[in-house]
Amino acid sequence: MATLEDKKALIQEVLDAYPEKAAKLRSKHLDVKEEGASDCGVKSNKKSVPGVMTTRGCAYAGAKGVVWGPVKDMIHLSHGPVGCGYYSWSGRRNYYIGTTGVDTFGTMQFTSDFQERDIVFGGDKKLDKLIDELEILFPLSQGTTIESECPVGLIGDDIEAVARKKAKEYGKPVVPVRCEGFRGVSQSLGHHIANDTVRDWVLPKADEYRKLPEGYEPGPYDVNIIGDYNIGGDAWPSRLLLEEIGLRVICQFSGDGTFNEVVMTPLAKLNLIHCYRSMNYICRFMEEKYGIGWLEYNFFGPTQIAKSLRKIAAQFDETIQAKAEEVIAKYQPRMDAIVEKYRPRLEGKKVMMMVGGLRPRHVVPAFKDLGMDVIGTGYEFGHGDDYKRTAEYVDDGTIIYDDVSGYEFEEFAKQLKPDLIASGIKEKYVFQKMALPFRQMHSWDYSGPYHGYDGFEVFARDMDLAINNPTWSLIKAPWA
Amino acid sequence: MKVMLRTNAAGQLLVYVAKKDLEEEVVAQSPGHHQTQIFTLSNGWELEIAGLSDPIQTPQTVEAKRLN
Ligand code: SF4
Repeated sequence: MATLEDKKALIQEVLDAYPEKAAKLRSKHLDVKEEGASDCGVKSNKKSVPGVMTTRGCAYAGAKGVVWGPVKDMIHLSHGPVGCGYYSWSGRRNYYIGTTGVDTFGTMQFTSDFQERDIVFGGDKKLDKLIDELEILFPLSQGTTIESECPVGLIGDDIEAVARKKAKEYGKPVVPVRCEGFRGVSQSLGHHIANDTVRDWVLPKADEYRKLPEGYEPGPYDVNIIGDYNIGGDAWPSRLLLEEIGLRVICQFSGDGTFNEVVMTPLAKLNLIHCYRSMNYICRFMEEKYGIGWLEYNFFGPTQIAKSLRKIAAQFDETIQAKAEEVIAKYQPRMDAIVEKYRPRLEGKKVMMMVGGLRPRHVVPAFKDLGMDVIGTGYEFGHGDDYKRTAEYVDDGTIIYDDVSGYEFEEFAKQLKPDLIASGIKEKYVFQKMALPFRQMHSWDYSGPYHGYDGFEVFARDMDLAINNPTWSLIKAPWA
Repeated sequence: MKVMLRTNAAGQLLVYVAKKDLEEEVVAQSPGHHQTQIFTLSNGWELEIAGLSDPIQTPQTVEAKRLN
Protein backbone atom coordinates (compact mmCIF):
# COMPACT_ATOMS: atom_id res chain seq x y z
CA MET A 1 0.00 0.00 0.00
CA ALA A 2 2.75 2.39 -0.88
CA THR A 3 1.76 4.66 -3.69
CA LEU A 4 -0.94 7.24 -4.01
CA GLU A 5 -2.54 5.22 -6.81
CA ASP A 6 -2.76 2.13 -4.60
CA LYS A 7 -4.56 4.11 -1.95
CA LYS A 8 -6.93 5.70 -4.42
CA ALA A 9 -7.62 2.24 -5.78
CA LEU A 10 -8.36 1.02 -2.26
CA ILE A 11 -10.88 3.83 -1.77
CA GLN A 12 -12.49 2.90 -5.08
CA GLU A 13 -12.62 -0.75 -4.09
CA VAL A 14 -14.34 0.12 -0.82
CA LEU A 15 -16.83 2.37 -2.62
CA ASP A 16 -17.66 -0.34 -5.15
CA ALA A 17 -19.66 -2.23 -2.54
CA TYR A 18 -22.19 0.60 -2.29
CA PRO A 19 -25.19 1.16 -4.53
CA GLU A 20 -24.43 3.76 -7.19
CA LYS A 21 -25.99 6.75 -5.46
CA ALA A 22 -24.47 6.04 -2.08
CA ALA A 23 -21.07 5.46 -3.69
CA LYS A 24 -21.30 8.83 -5.39
CA LEU A 25 -22.18 10.59 -2.16
CA ARG A 26 -19.53 8.85 -0.10
CA SER A 27 -16.79 9.27 -2.71
CA LYS A 28 -16.67 12.99 -1.88
CA HIS A 29 -15.78 12.23 1.73
CA LEU A 30 -12.84 9.90 1.12
CA ASP A 31 -9.50 10.95 -0.26
CA VAL A 32 -5.75 10.77 0.09
CA LYS A 33 -3.78 13.80 1.27
CA GLU A 34 -1.78 14.88 -1.75
CA GLU A 35 1.54 16.64 -1.87
CA GLY A 36 1.29 20.40 -1.60
CA ALA A 37 -2.50 20.39 -1.13
CA SER A 38 -3.82 23.09 1.20
CA ASP A 39 -6.73 20.94 2.36
CA CYS A 40 -7.54 17.26 2.54
CA GLY A 41 -9.70 17.07 -0.55
CA VAL A 42 -12.81 15.88 1.24
CA LYS A 43 -16.26 17.35 1.69
CA SER A 44 -17.52 17.54 5.25
CA ASN A 45 -20.39 18.55 7.51
CA LYS A 46 -22.92 16.90 5.23
CA LYS A 47 -25.84 14.68 6.14
CA SER A 48 -24.80 11.05 6.64
CA VAL A 49 -25.95 8.65 3.94
CA PRO A 50 -29.06 6.74 5.07
CA GLY A 51 -28.36 3.09 5.67
CA VAL A 52 -24.68 3.35 6.53
CA MET A 53 -23.52 3.22 10.11
CA THR A 54 -22.28 6.59 11.34
CA THR A 55 -20.85 7.42 14.73
CA ARG A 56 -22.33 10.88 14.89
CA GLY A 57 -24.44 12.27 17.69
CA CYS A 58 -27.15 14.91 17.69
CA ALA A 59 -27.28 18.64 18.41
CA TYR A 60 -28.51 17.93 21.93
CA ALA A 61 -25.38 15.86 22.54
CA GLY A 62 -23.20 18.74 21.36
CA ALA A 63 -24.90 21.36 23.50
CA LYS A 64 -25.60 19.36 26.65
CA GLY A 65 -22.72 16.92 26.64
CA VAL A 66 -19.96 19.09 25.29
CA VAL A 67 -20.33 22.81 25.76
CA TRP A 68 -22.70 23.37 28.69
CA GLY A 69 -22.46 20.03 30.49
CA PRO A 70 -19.04 20.56 32.10
CA VAL A 71 -20.07 23.88 33.68
CA LYS A 72 -20.15 22.23 37.04
CA ASP A 73 -22.17 24.47 39.33
CA MET A 74 -25.20 24.74 37.07
CA ILE A 75 -28.00 22.29 36.58
CA HIS A 76 -28.25 21.14 32.99
CA LEU A 77 -31.71 19.92 32.33
CA SER A 78 -32.44 17.35 29.64
CA HIS A 79 -35.85 18.69 28.74
CA GLY A 80 -38.01 16.02 27.15
CA PRO A 81 -38.30 12.25 27.49
CA VAL A 82 -35.91 10.47 29.79
CA GLY A 83 -33.84 8.49 27.26
CA CYS A 84 -31.65 11.17 25.67
CA GLY A 85 -30.14 12.14 28.99
CA TYR A 86 -30.10 8.69 30.52
CA TYR A 87 -28.13 7.08 27.73
CA SER A 88 -25.59 9.89 27.56
CA TRP A 89 -25.24 10.14 31.33
CA SER A 90 -21.71 10.80 32.50
CA GLY A 91 -20.17 9.38 29.36
CA ARG A 92 -17.60 12.09 28.80
CA ARG A 93 -15.48 11.91 31.92
CA ASN A 94 -15.15 15.66 32.41
CA TYR A 95 -13.54 15.74 35.82
CA TYR A 96 -14.29 18.49 38.29
CA ILE A 97 -13.69 19.52 41.86
CA GLY A 98 -16.65 20.02 44.17
CA THR A 99 -19.24 18.25 46.29
CA THR A 100 -21.61 16.59 43.86
CA GLY A 101 -25.23 17.26 44.68
CA VAL A 102 -24.42 20.20 46.91
CA ASP A 103 -22.48 22.81 44.98
CA THR A 104 -21.59 20.90 41.81
CA PHE A 105 -23.73 18.70 39.62
CA GLY A 106 -21.45 17.37 36.90
CA THR A 107 -22.17 13.66 37.15
CA MET A 108 -25.85 14.05 37.96
CA GLN A 109 -28.58 13.70 35.40
CA PHE A 110 -31.68 15.89 35.45
CA THR A 111 -34.65 15.40 33.17
CA SER A 112 -38.22 16.57 32.90
CA ASP A 113 -39.21 13.01 31.91
CA PHE A 114 -41.92 13.86 29.38
CA GLN A 115 -45.00 11.67 29.39
CA GLU A 116 -47.79 11.44 26.86
CA ARG A 117 -49.79 14.19 28.55
CA ASP A 118 -46.85 16.58 28.32
CA ILE A 119 -46.67 16.01 24.59
CA VAL A 120 -50.42 16.52 24.23
CA PHE A 121 -50.87 19.49 26.55
CA GLY A 122 -47.38 21.01 26.39
CA GLY A 123 -44.60 20.80 28.94
CA ASP A 124 -44.09 24.43 29.94
CA LYS A 125 -46.00 24.10 33.22
CA LYS A 126 -43.96 21.06 34.12
CA LEU A 127 -40.75 22.92 33.35
CA ASP A 128 -41.86 25.80 35.55
CA LYS A 129 -42.58 23.46 38.43
CA LEU A 130 -39.36 21.55 37.89
CA ILE A 131 -37.26 24.68 38.28
CA ASP A 132 -39.10 25.41 41.56
CA GLU A 133 -38.18 21.94 42.77
CA LEU A 134 -34.57 22.35 41.74
CA GLU A 135 -34.41 25.56 43.72
CA ILE A 136 -35.63 23.78 46.86
CA LEU A 137 -33.44 20.71 46.44
CA PHE A 138 -30.26 22.40 45.21
CA PRO A 139 -30.24 25.96 46.53
CA LEU A 140 -26.50 26.33 45.84
CA SER A 141 -26.82 25.83 42.10
CA GLN A 142 -25.73 28.90 40.19
CA GLY A 143 -28.33 28.58 37.48
CA THR A 144 -30.02 26.25 35.06
CA THR A 145 -29.70 25.50 31.39
CA ILE A 146 -32.59 23.87 29.58
CA GLU A 147 -31.45 21.63 26.77
CA SER A 148 -34.48 20.76 24.73
CA GLU A 149 -34.78 17.34 23.14
CA CYS A 150 -36.55 16.58 19.87
CA PRO A 151 -40.19 16.42 21.09
CA VAL A 152 -40.00 19.85 22.72
CA GLY A 153 -39.21 21.42 19.37
CA LEU A 154 -41.91 19.40 17.63
CA ILE A 155 -44.74 20.46 19.94
CA GLY A 156 -43.57 24.08 19.96
CA ASP A 157 -43.19 24.71 23.68
CA ASP A 158 -42.07 28.22 24.62
CA ILE A 159 -39.12 27.40 26.84
CA GLU A 160 -37.72 30.91 26.36
CA ALA A 161 -40.75 32.42 28.10
CA VAL A 162 -40.42 29.99 31.01
CA ALA A 163 -36.69 30.73 31.23
CA ARG A 164 -37.27 34.49 31.40
CA LYS A 165 -39.94 34.11 34.06
CA LYS A 166 -37.94 31.79 36.27
CA ALA A 167 -34.74 33.78 35.92
CA LYS A 168 -36.60 36.82 37.22
CA GLU A 169 -38.26 34.89 40.00
CA TYR A 170 -35.05 33.46 41.45
CA GLY A 171 -32.52 36.03 40.29
CA LYS A 172 -30.42 33.28 38.75
CA PRO A 173 -29.65 32.64 35.11
CA VAL A 174 -31.92 30.25 33.26
CA VAL A 175 -30.64 29.61 29.75
CA PRO A 176 -32.91 27.97 27.19
CA VAL A 177 -30.87 26.01 24.65
CA ARG A 178 -32.80 25.10 21.51
CA CYS A 179 -30.66 22.10 20.68
CA GLU A 180 -33.31 19.62 19.50
CA GLY A 181 -31.52 16.64 18.01
CA PHE A 182 -33.09 16.98 14.59
CA ARG A 183 -31.30 20.26 13.93
CA GLY A 184 -28.24 20.00 11.73
CA VAL A 185 -26.33 16.94 10.61
CA SER A 186 -24.31 16.17 13.74
CA GLN A 187 -23.47 17.33 17.24
CA SER A 188 -21.51 20.15 15.66
CA LEU A 189 -24.57 22.34 15.30
CA GLY A 190 -25.26 21.77 18.99
CA HIS A 191 -21.90 23.35 19.80
CA HIS A 192 -22.84 26.33 17.68
CA ILE A 193 -26.27 26.66 19.27
CA ALA A 194 -24.77 26.46 22.77
CA ASN A 195 -22.18 29.11 21.84
CA ASP A 196 -24.99 31.31 20.59
CA THR A 197 -26.87 30.99 23.88
CA VAL A 198 -23.76 32.25 25.66
CA ARG A 199 -23.73 35.16 23.24
CA ASP A 200 -27.44 35.93 23.58
CA TRP A 201 -28.36 34.94 27.12
CA VAL A 202 -25.18 35.16 29.19
CA LEU A 203 -22.75 37.79 27.96
CA PRO A 204 -25.30 40.63 27.67
CA LYS A 205 -26.11 40.18 31.36
CA ALA A 206 -22.61 39.22 32.38
CA ASP A 207 -21.95 42.33 34.43
CA GLU A 208 -25.04 41.68 36.46
CA TYR A 209 -24.22 38.03 37.09
CA ARG A 210 -20.50 38.36 37.66
CA LYS A 211 -19.19 37.81 41.17
CA LEU A 212 -15.72 39.21 41.38
CA PRO A 213 -13.57 37.55 44.00
CA GLU A 214 -12.37 39.90 46.67
CA GLY A 215 -9.32 41.84 45.61
CA TYR A 216 -9.81 40.99 41.98
CA GLU A 217 -7.80 43.31 39.84
CA PRO A 218 -7.56 42.83 36.12
CA GLY A 219 -4.01 41.89 35.20
CA PRO A 220 -1.98 42.15 32.01
CA TYR A 221 -1.61 38.37 31.77
CA ASP A 222 -5.24 37.31 32.18
CA VAL A 223 -6.21 34.53 29.79
CA ASN A 224 -9.09 32.11 29.36
CA ILE A 225 -8.80 28.42 28.59
CA ILE A 226 -11.57 27.83 26.10
CA GLY A 227 -12.69 24.47 24.78
CA ASP A 228 -10.74 22.20 27.10
CA TYR A 229 -13.31 19.85 28.58
CA ASN A 230 -11.08 18.35 31.23
CA ILE A 231 -11.50 14.81 29.97
CA GLY A 232 -9.65 12.66 32.48
CA GLY A 233 -8.32 15.90 33.98
CA ASP A 234 -6.83 17.35 30.77
CA ALA A 235 -7.37 20.98 31.67
CA TRP A 236 -5.40 20.75 34.88
CA PRO A 237 -1.90 20.14 33.47
CA SER A 238 -2.73 22.67 30.75
CA ARG A 239 -3.61 25.28 33.34
CA LEU A 240 -0.51 24.53 35.41
CA LEU A 241 1.68 24.98 32.34
CA LEU A 242 0.12 28.31 31.44
CA GLU A 243 0.51 29.48 35.02
CA GLU A 244 4.09 28.33 35.04
CA ILE A 245 4.95 30.62 32.15
CA GLY A 246 3.46 33.51 34.11
CA LEU A 247 -0.07 33.82 32.75
CA ARG A 248 -3.11 34.06 34.96
CA VAL A 249 -5.94 31.77 33.95
CA ILE A 250 -9.11 33.52 35.03
CA CYS A 251 -11.56 31.17 33.42
CA GLN A 252 -11.91 27.58 32.28
CA PHE A 253 -14.74 27.32 29.83
CA SER A 254 -16.02 24.76 30.21
CA GLY A 255 -14.02 21.82 31.69
CA ASP A 256 -14.07 22.09 35.51
CA GLY A 257 -15.49 25.59 35.01
CA THR A 258 -18.19 27.45 36.87
CA PHE A 259 -20.90 29.76 35.65
CA ASN A 260 -19.04 32.69 37.15
CA GLU A 261 -16.05 31.81 35.01
CA VAL A 262 -18.23 31.87 31.92
CA VAL A 263 -19.33 35.41 32.74
CA MET A 264 -15.72 36.38 33.54
CA THR A 265 -14.51 35.52 30.03
CA PRO A 266 -14.83 39.07 28.61
CA LEU A 267 -12.37 40.32 31.25
CA ALA A 268 -9.41 38.41 29.83
CA LYS A 269 -6.75 39.71 27.47
CA LEU A 270 -6.63 36.61 25.30
CA ASN A 271 -8.72 33.55 24.64
CA LEU A 272 -6.67 30.37 24.34
CA ILE A 273 -8.74 27.86 22.45
CA HIS A 274 -8.01 24.16 22.42
CA CYS A 275 -11.06 22.68 20.72
CA TYR A 276 -11.50 25.03 17.79
CA ARG A 277 -14.49 23.14 16.43
CA SER A 278 -16.79 23.54 19.41
CA MET A 279 -15.87 26.98 20.67
CA ASN A 280 -14.58 29.09 17.78
CA TYR A 281 -17.97 30.78 17.46
CA ILE A 282 -17.90 32.45 20.86
CA CYS A 283 -14.22 33.37 20.43
CA ARG A 284 -14.97 35.09 17.14
CA PHE A 285 -17.84 36.91 18.79
CA MET A 286 -15.71 38.07 21.71
CA GLU A 287 -13.03 39.25 19.31
CA GLU A 288 -15.49 41.44 17.49
CA LYS A 289 -17.46 42.64 20.51
CA TYR A 290 -14.77 43.04 23.17
CA GLY A 291 -11.58 43.08 21.13
CA ILE A 292 -10.22 39.94 22.82
CA GLY A 293 -7.95 38.05 20.46
CA TRP A 294 -7.95 34.27 20.27
CA LEU A 295 -5.28 31.76 19.61
CA GLU A 296 -5.46 28.07 18.89
CA TYR A 297 -2.95 25.92 20.72
CA ASN A 298 -2.11 22.24 20.94
CA PHE A 299 -0.90 20.59 24.14
CA PHE A 300 -0.43 17.04 22.81
CA GLY A 301 3.19 15.86 22.76
CA PRO A 302 6.37 17.82 23.58
CA THR A 303 6.95 19.14 20.04
CA GLN A 304 3.57 20.84 19.85
CA ILE A 305 3.58 21.91 23.50
CA ALA A 306 6.85 23.79 22.99
CA LYS A 307 5.56 25.29 19.76
CA SER A 308 2.30 26.35 21.38
CA LEU A 309 3.96 27.78 24.48
CA ARG A 310 6.20 29.91 22.26
CA LYS A 311 3.24 31.01 20.18
CA ILE A 312 1.27 31.97 23.28
CA ALA A 313 4.24 33.72 24.88
CA ALA A 314 4.80 35.73 21.71
CA GLN A 315 1.48 37.45 22.44
CA PHE A 316 2.90 38.85 25.67
CA ASP A 317 6.05 40.64 26.80
CA GLU A 318 9.59 39.39 27.22
CA THR A 319 9.21 38.17 30.80
CA ILE A 320 6.61 35.68 29.64
CA GLN A 321 8.70 34.70 26.64
CA ALA A 322 11.74 34.10 28.84
CA LYS A 323 9.68 32.05 31.26
CA ALA A 324 8.25 29.98 28.44
CA GLU A 325 11.77 29.09 27.31
CA GLU A 326 12.66 28.23 30.90
CA VAL A 327 9.65 25.96 31.24
CA ILE A 328 10.35 24.22 27.92
CA ALA A 329 13.98 23.65 28.93
CA LYS A 330 12.94 22.41 32.34
CA TYR A 331 10.69 19.68 30.97
CA GLN A 332 12.91 18.69 28.06
CA PRO A 333 15.04 16.14 29.96
CA ARG A 334 11.90 14.47 31.31
CA MET A 335 10.41 14.32 27.81
CA ASP A 336 13.65 12.94 26.40
CA ALA A 337 13.59 10.20 28.99
CA ILE A 338 10.01 9.26 28.07
CA VAL A 339 10.81 9.18 24.37
CA GLU A 340 13.95 7.17 25.04
CA LYS A 341 11.97 4.65 27.02
CA TYR A 342 8.98 4.19 24.72
CA ARG A 343 10.24 5.04 21.27
CA PRO A 344 12.12 1.76 20.74
CA ARG A 345 8.92 -0.10 21.63
CA LEU A 346 6.69 1.98 19.36
CA GLU A 347 8.93 3.04 16.48
CA GLY A 348 7.35 2.64 13.07
CA LYS A 349 3.95 1.48 14.40
CA LYS A 350 1.07 2.57 12.22
CA VAL A 351 -2.05 4.25 13.60
CA MET A 352 -5.48 4.87 12.17
CA MET A 353 -7.57 7.51 13.91
CA MET A 354 -11.16 8.65 13.78
CA VAL A 355 -12.33 11.04 16.44
CA GLY A 356 -14.55 14.09 16.84
CA GLY A 357 -13.63 17.60 15.89
CA LEU A 358 -10.08 18.28 17.06
CA ARG A 359 -8.05 15.23 17.94
CA PRO A 360 -7.78 13.74 14.45
CA ARG A 361 -5.19 16.43 13.82
CA HIS A 362 -4.03 17.49 17.28
CA VAL A 363 -2.86 14.06 18.40
CA VAL A 364 -0.86 13.33 15.22
CA PRO A 365 2.31 15.10 16.47
CA ALA A 366 2.16 13.25 19.80
CA PHE A 367 2.24 9.96 17.93
CA LYS A 368 5.10 11.28 15.82
CA ASP A 369 7.04 12.19 18.97
CA LEU A 370 6.92 8.49 19.80
CA GLY A 371 8.06 7.48 16.32
CA MET A 372 4.62 6.32 15.21
CA ASP A 373 2.98 7.11 11.88
CA VAL A 374 -0.62 8.10 11.42
CA ILE A 375 -1.67 6.50 8.13
CA GLY A 376 -5.33 7.43 8.19
CA THR A 377 -7.39 10.01 9.99
CA GLY A 378 -10.80 11.63 9.83
CA TYR A 379 -13.42 13.53 11.75
CA GLU A 380 -16.84 12.52 12.90
CA PHE A 381 -18.22 16.03 12.54
CA GLY A 382 -15.35 18.27 11.34
CA HIS A 383 -15.98 21.11 8.91
CA GLY A 384 -14.02 22.49 5.98
CA ASP A 385 -11.90 24.71 8.21
CA ASP A 386 -10.88 21.67 10.27
CA TYR A 387 -9.72 19.76 7.20
CA LYS A 388 -7.78 22.82 6.09
CA ARG A 389 -6.01 22.90 9.42
CA THR A 390 -5.39 19.16 9.16
CA ALA A 391 -3.37 19.48 5.97
CA GLU A 392 -0.32 20.82 7.79
CA TYR A 393 -0.48 18.10 10.44
CA VAL A 394 -0.62 14.95 8.32
CA ASP A 395 1.93 13.43 5.97
CA ASP A 396 1.29 13.21 2.25
CA GLY A 397 -0.36 9.93 1.42
CA THR A 398 -2.47 9.80 4.60
CA ILE A 399 -5.93 8.45 3.89
CA ILE A 400 -8.59 10.94 4.97
CA TYR A 401 -12.12 9.78 5.71
CA ASP A 402 -14.88 12.14 6.76
CA ASP A 403 -17.77 10.75 8.84
CA VAL A 404 -16.43 7.27 8.05
CA SER A 405 -19.01 4.49 8.09
CA GLY A 406 -18.52 1.28 10.05
CA TYR A 407 -18.05 -0.68 6.85
CA GLU A 408 -15.47 1.70 5.35
CA PHE A 409 -13.43 1.86 8.54
CA GLU A 410 -13.27 -1.91 8.81
CA GLU A 411 -12.29 -2.35 5.17
CA PHE A 412 -9.56 0.26 5.40
CA ALA A 413 -8.20 -1.40 8.53
CA LYS A 414 -8.18 -4.82 6.88
CA GLN A 415 -6.17 -3.54 3.93
CA LEU A 416 -3.89 -1.01 5.59
CA LYS A 417 -3.14 -3.28 8.56
CA PRO A 418 -2.47 -0.64 11.22
CA ASP A 419 -0.88 -1.55 14.55
CA LEU A 420 -3.28 0.60 16.52
CA ILE A 421 -6.74 2.02 16.03
CA ALA A 422 -7.50 5.17 17.98
CA SER A 423 -11.19 5.99 17.95
CA GLY A 424 -14.32 5.78 20.11
CA ILE A 425 -16.23 3.27 22.18
CA LYS A 426 -18.53 2.32 19.29
CA GLU A 427 -15.52 1.14 17.28
CA LYS A 428 -13.53 -0.40 20.09
CA TYR A 429 -14.88 -3.94 20.29
CA VAL A 430 -15.22 -4.36 16.54
CA PHE A 431 -11.51 -3.78 16.12
CA GLN A 432 -10.44 -5.69 19.18
CA LYS A 433 -12.28 -8.70 17.77
CA MET A 434 -10.25 -8.15 14.62
CA ALA A 435 -7.19 -8.64 16.85
CA LEU A 436 -6.20 -4.99 16.59
CA PRO A 437 -4.97 -3.01 19.58
CA PHE A 438 -7.31 -0.12 20.32
CA ARG A 439 -7.35 3.08 22.34
CA GLN A 440 -10.35 5.29 22.89
CA MET A 441 -9.50 8.80 21.84
CA HIS A 442 -12.67 10.46 23.09
CA SER A 443 -12.55 9.43 26.72
CA TRP A 444 -8.89 8.27 26.88
CA ASP A 445 -10.12 4.77 27.75
CA TYR A 446 -10.67 5.54 31.44
CA SER A 447 -7.17 7.00 31.60
CA GLY A 448 -5.76 10.51 31.17
CA PRO A 449 -4.90 13.29 31.29
CA TYR A 450 -3.17 13.44 27.91
CA HIS A 451 -2.66 17.21 27.70
CA GLY A 452 0.55 18.94 28.68
CA TYR A 453 3.90 17.47 29.65
CA ASP A 454 2.34 15.46 32.48
CA GLY A 455 -0.23 14.12 30.06
CA PHE A 456 2.32 13.01 27.49
CA GLU A 457 3.84 10.65 30.02
CA VAL A 458 0.46 8.96 30.50
CA PHE A 459 -0.18 8.98 26.75
CA ALA A 460 3.13 7.27 25.93
CA ARG A 461 2.58 4.61 28.58
CA ASP A 462 -0.98 3.92 27.41
CA MET A 463 0.01 3.51 23.77
CA ASP A 464 2.76 1.12 24.79
CA LEU A 465 0.37 -0.86 26.98
CA ALA A 466 -2.13 -1.15 24.16
CA ILE A 467 0.24 -2.11 21.37
CA ASN A 468 2.69 -4.31 23.22
CA ASN A 469 0.11 -6.19 25.23
CA PRO A 470 0.96 -9.92 24.91
CA THR A 471 -2.76 -10.74 24.62
CA TRP A 472 -2.70 -9.84 20.95
CA SER A 473 -0.48 -12.80 20.10
CA LEU A 474 -3.23 -15.11 21.34
CA ILE A 475 -5.93 -13.98 18.91
CA LYS A 476 -5.83 -14.11 15.20
CA ALA A 477 -7.93 -12.17 12.71
CA PRO A 478 -9.72 -14.56 10.36
CA TRP A 479 -7.99 -13.13 7.27
CA ALA A 480 -4.52 -12.71 8.78
CA MET B 1 -24.97 37.34 3.37
CA LYS B 2 -23.24 38.18 6.63
CA VAL B 3 -19.49 37.68 6.64
CA MET B 4 -16.86 38.39 9.24
CA LEU B 5 -13.60 40.03 8.26
CA ARG B 6 -10.60 39.32 10.40
CA THR B 7 -6.85 39.52 10.26
CA ASN B 8 -4.87 36.40 11.10
CA ALA B 9 -1.57 36.22 12.95
CA ALA B 10 0.34 36.67 9.71
CA GLY B 11 -1.50 39.91 8.99
CA GLN B 12 -3.52 38.38 6.18
CA LEU B 13 -7.14 39.44 5.73
CA LEU B 14 -9.59 36.55 6.10
CA VAL B 15 -13.25 36.21 5.33
CA TYR B 16 -15.29 33.92 7.56
CA VAL B 17 -18.79 32.82 6.62
CA ALA B 18 -20.33 30.97 9.54
CA LYS B 19 -23.29 29.61 7.58
CA LYS B 20 -21.00 28.07 4.97
CA ASP B 21 -18.19 26.94 7.33
CA LEU B 22 -15.90 28.90 5.15
CA GLU B 23 -12.74 30.65 6.17
CA GLU B 24 -10.73 31.86 3.19
CA GLU B 25 -7.92 34.29 2.61
CA VAL B 26 -8.49 37.40 0.55
CA VAL B 27 -6.12 37.06 -2.40
CA ALA B 28 -7.11 40.16 -4.36
CA GLN B 29 -8.90 43.38 -3.63
CA SER B 30 -10.20 45.89 -6.15
CA PRO B 31 -12.59 48.85 -6.05
CA GLY B 32 -16.09 48.20 -7.42
CA HIS B 33 -18.93 50.54 -8.37
CA HIS B 34 -20.48 52.98 -5.86
CA GLN B 35 -17.51 52.91 -3.50
CA THR B 36 -17.71 49.20 -2.85
CA GLN B 37 -14.78 46.84 -2.62
CA ILE B 38 -14.51 43.56 -4.44
CA PHE B 39 -12.67 40.79 -2.62
CA THR B 40 -11.43 37.68 -4.37
CA LEU B 41 -11.07 34.75 -2.01
CA SER B 42 -8.63 31.86 -2.23
CA ASN B 43 -11.48 29.52 -3.21
CA GLY B 44 -12.39 31.72 -6.17
CA TRP B 45 -15.40 33.47 -4.68
CA GLU B 46 -15.86 37.16 -5.41
CA LEU B 47 -17.58 39.25 -2.76
CA GLU B 48 -18.77 42.83 -3.03
CA ILE B 49 -18.75 44.76 0.23
CA ALA B 50 -19.88 48.34 0.73
CA GLY B 51 -18.96 50.99 3.26
CA LEU B 52 -15.54 49.81 4.39
CA SER B 53 -13.16 52.22 6.04
CA ASP B 54 -9.54 52.47 4.94
CA PRO B 55 -7.63 50.78 6.49
CA ILE B 56 -10.26 48.11 7.06
CA GLN B 57 -11.13 47.73 10.70
CA THR B 58 -11.09 44.09 11.83
CA PRO B 59 -12.69 42.04 13.17
CA GLN B 60 -16.01 43.24 11.88
CA THR B 61 -19.18 41.66 10.56
CA VAL B 62 -20.43 43.11 7.30
CA GLU B 63 -23.02 42.45 4.64
CA ALA B 64 -21.52 41.02 1.46
CA LYS B 65 -22.88 40.16 -1.95
CA ARG B 66 -21.52 37.20 -3.83
CA LEU B 67 -20.79 38.05 -7.46
CA ASN B 68 -19.96 34.65 -8.96
S1 SF4 C 1 -31.88 13.01 18.31
FE1 SF4 C 1 -33.52 13.86 19.60
S2 SF4 C 1 -34.45 12.09 20.63
FE2 SF4 C 1 -32.43 11.43 19.84
S3 SF4 C 1 -30.98 11.75 21.57
FE3 SF4 C 1 -30.96 13.61 20.28
S4 SF4 C 1 -32.47 14.97 21.26
FE4 SF4 C 1 -32.88 12.89 22.02
